[in-house]
Amino acid sequence: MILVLARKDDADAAAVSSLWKAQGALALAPEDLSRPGWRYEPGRPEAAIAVAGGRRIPARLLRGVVTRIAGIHPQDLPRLAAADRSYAAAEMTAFLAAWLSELSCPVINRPSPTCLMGPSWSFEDWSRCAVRAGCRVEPVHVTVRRAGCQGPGQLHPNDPSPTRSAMVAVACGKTFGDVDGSLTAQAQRLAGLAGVEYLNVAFRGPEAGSSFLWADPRPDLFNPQIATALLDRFQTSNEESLEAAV
Amino acid sequence: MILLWGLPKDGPVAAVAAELANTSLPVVLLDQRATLDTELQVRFVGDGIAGAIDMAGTTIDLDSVTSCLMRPYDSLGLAAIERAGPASVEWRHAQSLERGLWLWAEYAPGLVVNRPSAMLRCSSKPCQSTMIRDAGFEYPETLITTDPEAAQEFLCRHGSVVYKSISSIRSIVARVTVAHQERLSDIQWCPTQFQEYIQGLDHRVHVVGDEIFSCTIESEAVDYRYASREGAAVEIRSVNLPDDCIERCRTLTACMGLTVAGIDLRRTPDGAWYCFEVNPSPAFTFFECDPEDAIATAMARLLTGGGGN
Repeated sequence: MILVLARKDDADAAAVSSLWKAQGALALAPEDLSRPGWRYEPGRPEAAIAVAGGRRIPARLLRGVVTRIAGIHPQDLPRLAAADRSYAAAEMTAFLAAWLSELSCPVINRPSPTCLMGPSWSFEDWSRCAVRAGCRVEPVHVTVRRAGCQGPGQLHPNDPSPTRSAMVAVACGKTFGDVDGSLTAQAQRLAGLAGVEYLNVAFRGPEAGSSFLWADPRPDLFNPQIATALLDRFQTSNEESLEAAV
Repeated sequence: MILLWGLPKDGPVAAVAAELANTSLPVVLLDQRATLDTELQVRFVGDGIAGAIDMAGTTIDLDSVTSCLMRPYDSLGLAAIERAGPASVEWRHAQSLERGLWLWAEYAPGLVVNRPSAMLRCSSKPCQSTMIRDAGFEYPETLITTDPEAAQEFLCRHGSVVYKSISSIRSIVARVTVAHQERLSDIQWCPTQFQEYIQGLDHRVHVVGDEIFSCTIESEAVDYRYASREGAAVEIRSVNLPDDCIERCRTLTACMGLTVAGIDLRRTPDGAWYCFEVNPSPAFTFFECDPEDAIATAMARLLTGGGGN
């Protein structure tokens, strides 16, 4: 079985869950954390039980998990009393971070204690790491002024200011994107330094020497080639596990 | 320059500031109460970082900071900001300033107590449990569940059980009582952490750089931090730990990337050492019991020594 951890309104996650139905894929939404049946004993991940799509799923049957959310937000939990949502959201995030960290199957990406998709990094953190990965990075300024403040992190994935950009996705050792090989290598190094199996990296253009714009560890499930690469990863891992068991 | 970020009346900040009063190094308190009068500039250029703070007209050159103690409370809880509300300029300013300062603290070249990335590792108790076991401590049997039946089984298996938060949100550790068992079905709404109750004597260990401070805490309360609510007394006494236990504390602190840590231990009657959690921003003044060997003095020594982490 494969779990796709995403919000209910995530159309790409829903589409891929449906596409991978034959492989036992199920969507796991934040609301599922408010269903009876979850069991997890830290240190015994194989004995855990998850709840997704109304079913109780023993963790030992999982072949992979794809994560499309950084954490559970209070607004993800409308069924809970308003006063309890913030606390419950923090508890659920901390719970998932521990459970996903311990699973023996591939989890893309492995969470950190505060981000379910990988490292809990800001644009500035990614920029610093991009420097170490050999990317050309434009100076980053963080300015907080008294009135009408301009917060840190002025460039991020939704920022329309770059007039053009070129993307590379690093997915389980493979790369996708029509950019110069040197940028692809930088993206791979960046993913390696960040310790993630999956990473989208944007550059200001496709040619060599283009500046790093941003990085995002949320798997792109809209791209069928990337989705296939993730599925291959789960299947390869499963075959290796079976061989090891034999 | 030594930078202290927090509230001047916060016990640990006040104690460290008092200890630093006689140092020859300049010491600046970045007063959280002045959040709305504080500006920040941080510049990342290549591998380097530079910046400055303007606190109500006083400029703090961040490049001259050799060490800092980061002990802020949630800025959004400050009266003026809470009053202004989430949609306000004040709210956004406080969020941005806090975020910017933590960002600087992650990459500042000097000594930072503690780096935010290390502090975040403590955000999930079950995530901590892996490192606690790896350091050689015992960890109580734990179940996190939304399944009332599983919780009931766990209660039957262990007899005496406590529940506590999973995240770093502060919660009062409490024993599961008959009254709780009657509303066990409520746990289906949110994963709840149950732990076997461990009999024994509470110890608190503070690791401050290379120095170790340890004390015992005797109280009838399940959670001694809230003993007064139960009408229970708390007695704190300085104690020497066995060398192997000290070593485990050092290992655990280092594995978590922390320079300063408060470690909660319990020694069972048969001599086993259980570790419950590691606090990356310990309120150590609560545990000060030996004026000759004060934790605040060691904190001041650490900050004065500078270096990098």
